[in-house]
Amino acid sequence: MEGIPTQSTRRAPSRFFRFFTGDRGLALALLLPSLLLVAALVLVPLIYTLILSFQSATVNVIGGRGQLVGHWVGLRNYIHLLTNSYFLSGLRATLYFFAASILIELTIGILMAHLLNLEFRGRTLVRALVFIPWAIPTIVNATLWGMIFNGNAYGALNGLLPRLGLGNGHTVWLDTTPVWPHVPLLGPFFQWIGMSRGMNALIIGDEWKTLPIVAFLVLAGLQTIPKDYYEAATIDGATPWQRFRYITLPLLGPILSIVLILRTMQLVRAFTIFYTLEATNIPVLSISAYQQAFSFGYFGRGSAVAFIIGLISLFFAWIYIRWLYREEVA
Amino acid sequence: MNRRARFWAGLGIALMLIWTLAPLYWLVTMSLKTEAASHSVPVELIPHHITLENFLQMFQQYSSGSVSYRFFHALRNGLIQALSTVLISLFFGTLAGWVLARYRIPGRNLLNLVFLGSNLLPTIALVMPFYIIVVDYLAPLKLYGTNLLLILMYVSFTLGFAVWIMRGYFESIPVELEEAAIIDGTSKLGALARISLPLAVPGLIATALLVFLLSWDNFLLPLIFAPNPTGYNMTFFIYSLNGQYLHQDNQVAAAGVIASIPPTLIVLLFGRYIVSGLTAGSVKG
Repeated sequence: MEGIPTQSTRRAPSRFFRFFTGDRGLALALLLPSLLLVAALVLVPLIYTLILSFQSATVNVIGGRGQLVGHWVGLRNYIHLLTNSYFLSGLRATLYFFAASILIELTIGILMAHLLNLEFRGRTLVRALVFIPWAIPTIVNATLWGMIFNGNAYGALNGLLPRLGLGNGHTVWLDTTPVWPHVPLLGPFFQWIGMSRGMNALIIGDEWKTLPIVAFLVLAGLQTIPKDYYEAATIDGATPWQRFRYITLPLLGPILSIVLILRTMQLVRAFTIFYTLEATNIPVLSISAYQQAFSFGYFGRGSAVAFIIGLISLFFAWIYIRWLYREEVA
Repeated sequence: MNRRARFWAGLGIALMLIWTLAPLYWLVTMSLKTEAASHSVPVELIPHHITLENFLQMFQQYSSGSVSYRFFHALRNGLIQALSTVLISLFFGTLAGWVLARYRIPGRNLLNLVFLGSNLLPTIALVMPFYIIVVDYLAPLKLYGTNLLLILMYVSFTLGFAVWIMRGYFESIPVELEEAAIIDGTSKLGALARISLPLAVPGLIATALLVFLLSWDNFLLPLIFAPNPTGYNMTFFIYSLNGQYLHQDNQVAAAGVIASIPPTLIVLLFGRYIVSGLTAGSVKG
């Protein structure tokens, strides 16, 4: 995977591509179709979502045609949500899902990248195989893990584990009751953050599909780091951890920021695996928004939830960009 | 590497392979099991009897409402939607990406952000306004349940992505090459077509593949906008097999294997393009 441009090529504007003095007609003609499409398909609907989130809006649909009925309620949708324990538990569950997944990706993902970067026989084949799960469509991944975590005795895990001398073969893996409910402090805390056996099972299933792309992006980053750096550090007596901490990690900064931003957005808006395997049992934010709008018909509240998802994603993106680019400069 | 390090590396690689292959093994063997074997106790870790019946069912007995009827509609719709989305996003995304890479347009940082943001937006935030627009304001157009509607919605989040990747690629191609061609008498558009575009082929491939994967993979949009059997695409077809009263895991697995073949081939053949495409935009996103 050579030739990955990771360095910005900032140069003086070319004399042929000056916007003000040159022919701006061409530039505008090529740019406008995309701008119009994004305006029509993203910006207008997004502003509409914002407006809806300040309304008490319902849609009555009969035979594919519908009518929006709505009136202005100010911040009441947001106030309703932020004082609603069901919504707040879903918010915490989303944050737990996000934090646990990111933690796995940053540890196991980086570890996998290092393993794939070693030189060993059959490396090409191993790399190809490890990449496959990322190609499996999300819905197939969800139904596959539904078969693995099936609570009946014919579920894959329930069939396999007893043969290895583990478990009783009747575990309901997707059960959403809290783990360790009777352990003091820890039990209530796990319940509060929305950690349950089912939630952890979904995290594992989701990571099976996403770890490969994290590992391969990090691997691409590792391949751009010159080997001399490590040799020089080794001669100076740096431990493997020091080499990782002071060479690898800082130089992976730009790649990690891409990984973190892309993955955070995907995790905060995760829908398919929850909807397929847990229906509405774990009301993470996307499920909550879907439920408000398409089960209860509250399009106003649903839009407010959608906007909260967007704000959370933006907040994290902002943190990553500040933190990682500062680290790179320092 | 010393012997101990080699041991740990070997163990790590072995664990990584087991973790990767075990679920795949389950999916493939499940798709080859009979219905009785799919929920037999004890579980058949190695199928005693291999059958292709689950696959054949998708190609036989074509009649309204049958599995094969829904499968073919889903396959056709899925391909139409994904390929159209690729064409639209790739064409407009390439042109816009080139302009953003070359011209110093006022507010180009903001434009970059808008294009990147349109990809990162939560899908659910666009679903609600789209739904209202489609069933209320634009109801006479009868867009609900059509391929056109889904293509437009896929474009909404893939176009920005295409612009972002292509801009990154064009920025990595020296502008001097185009300038030389212009001095030799080529138009600017000619310089793009004859000089930069051939050099950006890896970027074009990466963009096309990523857009295809994103459109092929989406579930939320067909769930809301194409819930009738003739409007199914592959993701929704698989979901529909997994019904409340029918737990035919072997049938679901066979459909899953078929839906996984196009993206798996893409990843195996062009994985390196995809990775470099995703990192191309990291030139100060």
